[in-house]
Amino acid sequence: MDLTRRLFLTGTTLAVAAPALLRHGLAQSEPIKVGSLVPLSGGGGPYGPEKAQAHKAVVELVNKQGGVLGRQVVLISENSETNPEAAVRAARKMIDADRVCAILGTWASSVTLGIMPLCQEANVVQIFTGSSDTLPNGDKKRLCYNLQPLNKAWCVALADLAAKRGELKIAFAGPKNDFAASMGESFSKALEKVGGKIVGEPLYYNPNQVSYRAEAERLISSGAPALFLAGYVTDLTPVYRELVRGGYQGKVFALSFAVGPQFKQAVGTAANGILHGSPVPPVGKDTYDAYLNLVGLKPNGQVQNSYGCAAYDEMNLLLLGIASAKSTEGPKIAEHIMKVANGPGERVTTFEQGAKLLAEGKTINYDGASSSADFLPNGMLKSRDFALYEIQGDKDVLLTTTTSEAEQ
Amino acid sequence: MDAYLVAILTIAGIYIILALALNLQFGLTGLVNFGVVGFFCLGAYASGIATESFHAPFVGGLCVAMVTGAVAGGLLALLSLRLSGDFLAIVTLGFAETIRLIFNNEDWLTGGPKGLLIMTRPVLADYSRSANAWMVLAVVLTGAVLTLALMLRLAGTPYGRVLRAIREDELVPATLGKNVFVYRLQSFVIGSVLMAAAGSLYAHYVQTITPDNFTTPVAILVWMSVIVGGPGNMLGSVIGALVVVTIYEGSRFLTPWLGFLDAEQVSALRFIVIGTVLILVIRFRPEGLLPEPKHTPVVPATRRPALKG
Amino acid sequence: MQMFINALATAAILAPAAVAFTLIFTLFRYANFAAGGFVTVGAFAAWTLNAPLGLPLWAGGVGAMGVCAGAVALSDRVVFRPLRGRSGGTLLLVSIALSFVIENIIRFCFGAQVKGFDLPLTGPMVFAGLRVPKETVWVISISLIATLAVGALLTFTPIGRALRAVADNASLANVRGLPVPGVEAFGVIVAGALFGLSGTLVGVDLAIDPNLNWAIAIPVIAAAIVGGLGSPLGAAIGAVVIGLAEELTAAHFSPTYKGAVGFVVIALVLLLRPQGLLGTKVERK
Repeated sequence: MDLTRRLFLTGTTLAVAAPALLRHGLAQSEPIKVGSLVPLSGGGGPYGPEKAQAHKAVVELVNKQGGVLGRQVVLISENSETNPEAAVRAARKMIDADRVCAILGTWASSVTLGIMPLCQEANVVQIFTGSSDTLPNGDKKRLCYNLQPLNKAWCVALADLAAKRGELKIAFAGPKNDFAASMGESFSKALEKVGGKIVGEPLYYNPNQVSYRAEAERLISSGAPALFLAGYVTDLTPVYRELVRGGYQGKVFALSFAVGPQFKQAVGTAANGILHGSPVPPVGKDTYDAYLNLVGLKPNGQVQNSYGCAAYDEMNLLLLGIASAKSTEGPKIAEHIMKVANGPGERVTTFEQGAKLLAEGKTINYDGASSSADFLPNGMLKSRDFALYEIQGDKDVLLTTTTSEAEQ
Repeated sequence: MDAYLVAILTIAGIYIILALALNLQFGLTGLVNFGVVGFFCLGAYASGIATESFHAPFVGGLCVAMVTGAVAGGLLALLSLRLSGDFLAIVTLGFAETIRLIFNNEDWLTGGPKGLLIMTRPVLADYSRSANAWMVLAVVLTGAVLTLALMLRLAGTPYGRVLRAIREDELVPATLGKNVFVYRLQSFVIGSVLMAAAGSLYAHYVQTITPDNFTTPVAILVWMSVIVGGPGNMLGSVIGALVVVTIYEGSRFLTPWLGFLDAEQVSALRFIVIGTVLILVIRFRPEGLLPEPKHTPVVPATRRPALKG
Repeated sequence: MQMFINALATAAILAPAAVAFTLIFTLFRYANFAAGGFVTVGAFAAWTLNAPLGLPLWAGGVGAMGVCAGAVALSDRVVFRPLRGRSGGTLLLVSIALSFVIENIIRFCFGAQVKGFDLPLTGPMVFAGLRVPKETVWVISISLIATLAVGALLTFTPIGRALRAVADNASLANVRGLPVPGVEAFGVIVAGALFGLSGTLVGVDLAIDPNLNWAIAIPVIAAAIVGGLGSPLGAAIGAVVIGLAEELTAAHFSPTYKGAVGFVVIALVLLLRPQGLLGTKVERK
């Protein structure tokens, strides 16, 4: 009897302990899981695929070279649908079902902010491209890194261009969302700094309307000699069309991502004369060319995949952070991302170079494809290049490139 | 994976409350409320504003949400309950859309499109993340069970029978001296209060709410729960909500096998399937998975299918 | 005055669809919320014929009317006819589900990218300080002609009179020897063609994307309800009222609340004329 009971007890203990023991043993060789949450549909739909592709390319390359800390990297991809509600559900699945250590690639600020409480609670690192000025506020545990300059920097560049063109009285309009609202505020400040002034109240409208005639009418009757339209392509197209039909004669400033091929095709030659600007990768730099070659594109002296190159940096920074921290715990990774991104240390441009130096006990400074990838203490980007264009004959003609520094 | 199941069950619990509330209004009383998402949204924001701007505890937020739901439900009912079915549907749909626009535009109150960040949670302090998730689940399931108990009780009482009679033919209870309008009003307001309570639970669970969380597809999912489960049958709504949440979340795991479609097509396909199932159920099985139990009246009478009326 | 021209332009887009919605309501006594979905189908059909296939826009418009007539007839045959006799609420729920299915089928096939007709953008004509875009003149004239034509069709032709008789009382019309199914089919096809026309006009004015569905459904239904759900003329007047209300809101209040205008107008009408909106009570039992 005694024997049986002892056997039973030992057996049970082993059975209960086995998964824990196994898990402990596996932890050393278990793959590292990384989440890629990009907009494959909705407002960000045009930009998500290149981000997903860049994440995948880096992970495949790193795995081929032996992985991170001897462990393979597994990429979990989900669609954010550019909608915070869908993104939160996807993020929950990534965090709870897949147990990712980081979620990369969110594009719309509303999505990044929407999943932030979840990531903060679960100690999951977020690296993204976003420009709403409110982004740093929710990051209480310092787990976030942003590879896009905030609106403040973007607006300084645009306001400078406007001033150079002699346009100092500009009316502002944009869709009613977080991005445009913060754009409106920042632009007004930036314009005042260069001696200009916003005409009238900023005009906000709901996207997905039947008619934008009344909005266009209000802008025309404000008598503003120039307009800044901070819309996305879906709402900018009908607003701009109404402006042309309503006989608006002034200059129009817009954001580059809204006046791409779709916009030009929809409005035709009426697009000529629009001035637009956006953050751009350093065209011609070795890091940017390395990214283009990795995803199968040829460097041609033009801006290609301006969000894809940022996604390339997102993944490299994360993996270097893990290699440096020798851990997959969020706070440790986040702490080490700052070290590998800002240095001081030897310049590296790929994971392979960086991991080798780190293994030798040296310090590194990652130089990225989208920017030099240096961050302020709050995880926001220090500076990035901006390019300003004018549409002429259905093509974007480069006017100037500037580097805009973010304010502390 | 277990933590993910906890998350799905929490969402399912919230949908169960919404479906039960709608079943009271539509299944029992025959009121076509397309503003489900409006009351849900109102409750979420009322609770969030009470706890974040006025530092009320979670229970305080929940109460504020329910009172707000009652007031809004009462006003809307007074405005529109005298109208016939389709107009009530249009007015409630309009209510939901207008609520969303107001919350999107009045930044000073709701944070506008960037949303409301909610730090108050229905959990005890200083526990681990997974313990917190279980506590939230417990709170939501308690809410769902209480709602179910209340609905089963209501459906079984003489009160519930009057509601059913109103649904079938309002002239009969009116002839018997029942004030049809007051009964309808009560049913509508109780439903609205429960929907607002569900909103409060949702807000403190997801912790960031934006007006984008409260669009018409949510209402479609709740309607589908009631119709698939069986209008008039309370247990049916529970099952219906579970089925709907399973379809919605489960389709996520099908994506690897749908590689030939892009992500946008997959998400469109999900809604095509949901809409088509809804239409097919209404056509071929209007009584739902669990038909409403037949009540044998003292004098046998012929009954029409539940959706008629 | 400028505002009135703008309101007319908005109304011209809504009017054909509102007339179609009214027609379906009077024939079958249910609110077909898939109206926005059908208009979107029309816009995409016209776009497909015009931009990728290179046909002139008028041909695209005629094609869109044909496609929409087919779509509405098909939906009536497959979805709504088996449900005749169910309550208005049930049919309304079905029509909302249908509009979701339509919207997502379009999204599935065409993607969410914005589309526009192959039309050169030009500045307005100016009369005495009033700016009138050339397209607006076209949109208003075509819409006006279509609405008047349908009105005349219903009032003066034998088939129109038969249609009104069936709408009034189908069983009585049947007893009197009218071919009720045929007349109903005719009504459905006319409604479908009108949805297609609205879709084409929307495309001239706006960007074409699947989200049009709800954006267009609400003002169309509001116009029909304001107009009293009885006559095409009423629906057309309703469209002008909604157009004016939207312009006024955007000009003097806040453009962000324009989306609520339709509903507020519906609520006001129901408050002031709750007995049935068209003055006489609609029998629905």
